[in-house]
Amino acid sequence: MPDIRELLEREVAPLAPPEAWERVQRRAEQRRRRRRLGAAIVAVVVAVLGTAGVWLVANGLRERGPQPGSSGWDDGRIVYECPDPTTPAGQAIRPTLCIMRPDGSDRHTIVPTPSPGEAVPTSMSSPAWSPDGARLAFRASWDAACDRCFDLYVMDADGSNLRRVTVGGLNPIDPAWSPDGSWIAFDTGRGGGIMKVHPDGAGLTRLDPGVGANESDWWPSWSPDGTRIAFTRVDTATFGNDLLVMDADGRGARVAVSGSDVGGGQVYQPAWSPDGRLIAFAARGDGHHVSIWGWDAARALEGDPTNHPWQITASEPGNDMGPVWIDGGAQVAFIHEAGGRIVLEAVRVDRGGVTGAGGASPGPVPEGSPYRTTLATGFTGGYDQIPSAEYSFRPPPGGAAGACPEPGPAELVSCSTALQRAGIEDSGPQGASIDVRLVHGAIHPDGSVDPDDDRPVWAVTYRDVAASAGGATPQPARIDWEVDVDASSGAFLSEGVARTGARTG
Amino acid sequence: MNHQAVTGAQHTVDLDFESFFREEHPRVFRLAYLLTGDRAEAADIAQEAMARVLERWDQVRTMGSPGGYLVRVAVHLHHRRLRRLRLRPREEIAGRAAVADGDPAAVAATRTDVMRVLLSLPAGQRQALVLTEWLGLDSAEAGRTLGIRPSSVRARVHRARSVFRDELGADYA
Repeated sequence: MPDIRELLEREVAPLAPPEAWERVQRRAEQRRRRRRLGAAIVAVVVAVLGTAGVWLVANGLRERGPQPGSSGWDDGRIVYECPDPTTPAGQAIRPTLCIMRPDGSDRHTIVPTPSPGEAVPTSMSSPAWSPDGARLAFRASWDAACDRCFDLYVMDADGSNLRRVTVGGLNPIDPAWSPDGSWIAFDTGRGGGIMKVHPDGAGLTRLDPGVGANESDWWPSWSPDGTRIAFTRVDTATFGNDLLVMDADGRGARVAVSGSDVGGGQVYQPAWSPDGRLIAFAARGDGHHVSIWGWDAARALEGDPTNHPWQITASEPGNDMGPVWIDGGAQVAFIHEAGGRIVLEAVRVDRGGVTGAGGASPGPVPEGSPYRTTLATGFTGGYDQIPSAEYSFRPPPGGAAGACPEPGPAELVSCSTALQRAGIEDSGPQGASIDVRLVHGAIHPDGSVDPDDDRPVWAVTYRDVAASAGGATPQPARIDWEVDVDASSGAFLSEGVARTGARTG
Repeated sequence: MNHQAVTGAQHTVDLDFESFFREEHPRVFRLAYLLTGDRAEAADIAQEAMARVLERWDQVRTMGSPGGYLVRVAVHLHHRRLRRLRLRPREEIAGRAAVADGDPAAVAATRTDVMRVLLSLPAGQRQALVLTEWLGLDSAEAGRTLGIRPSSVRARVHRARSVFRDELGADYA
């Protein structure tokens, strides 16, 4: 039987393009003329607006006051692959790493600053935040002219303290930090297995020496207690995929979810929930589209024979992939791809299924479902602007109380603003507790929510901050703030109003 | 030919481009056909890609692989076409499809099984499969062309091959 290349070649071998030499010449000349005209227009516009721009900076920005996130609250960051603006002209755009807020604002490129004598890495991709949110692990090439010179790197989130972790072109992909930050697991394109290494480069260890000749292990994900690693094993002969779990030392690998469990398809990209109970993963079921699924790891470890994976999203006509647990494990974020458009979305998940303001979803939630929240749009990357699905959420700063809900979806900027409006200007001392969440429905004085009033509001519960700051014994004080917001844009429609209690201090 | 009327220096450039055009235009046309399944669309993409290369020929001709640049431009144009189709009203898309392809039932009857399966794939999988299987790029090269990473290329090709296997039998893919 012919292979796919031969099949495709048979389809196109008889085809000859219509004569196009003259048309190509005309099109090229038209494009040159448009470009010259466009440059002239831009020059005029820049000259006219130059003076106006000075006024805007001097007056417009000053009037807007503090911007979201400037109060000292860290409302989460997403790191993702983006086009490298330093790619030499005429070459394929290389990827690099960018950071943005979860609502897509404040995007900027990370510029690495290597140690003396170390080359600046290029083609940075596959980023992962360290558990403390301070560092990034990623894959990069130490030689821009070399296609196979990729190694694992770590650096601080601002690009400083760059370190090359592996040496020798291991072609590492999908780095994953252990929960204590002492190890980074990754899969390697050289040998197709999973390895782990300390962030300082010591202790490089192969974790799956038992992988077969036709097998390749991808996408490691640590359990939150650091004792196990979930990953996907691909059988390159049969194209079957299984989700496996092994001990963190590489022993005891066993199949957790097989392709047959998801309708005969393949499984990808496992992600362990922060409480260790669930594993979210992407899977292509019996259709041709990739969806998000869940699997109850805790029940499986308890030996429950009735434990089966369940489908979280129905992705058609697109694909849902790259699940990441956010919001302290209350939500799963994922990339939704449809027709080349990439959107970062999230659903609320618990062991019983998908939940939302209207209760539990009766089944997998499709595109456009109210159970799905859009977090960010506009992921771009590569020459042709096909977006990248690579991203990683920054963990809560220090895991301390007083943070906006992590990751704080598209609502996060509003979360910061909500705190400013409520007069809360900083994260407060340790021990303070602030809970900010978007709810639908008016908040009763006792803190309960009236579901009949479905206005989206920010509920800010604020405990003991002032008392703790003054060194006094924390007192059980509480304030709920209710703020009308536009749920789609996060814009505030009214000032915050204290609903219960009184702010201490 | 138009190039006969231009100056000597440009003449040399045009002659280089003409050689490039004669060699690469059929290939990029076939590539576009595999991505679109439509000869008219493929011809349009191939012409536009060639025009863009000609517009920047002074830079493109010094590249290590001008043909690789042409492929990236063609894939980019295919992607733009998909975006434009998505933004149009459904009626317009349906009308355009009818004009371009004729009666859907007749199209279904005349398209080969291979093209039917290929065109049933999501665009990203189709691009990855065509670039790697037909054009012979490795996953890193295809990843750079598509703006995705090599593992994503592998995953897409993997899914596409599975569809071929499911649709055409286990001996394929």
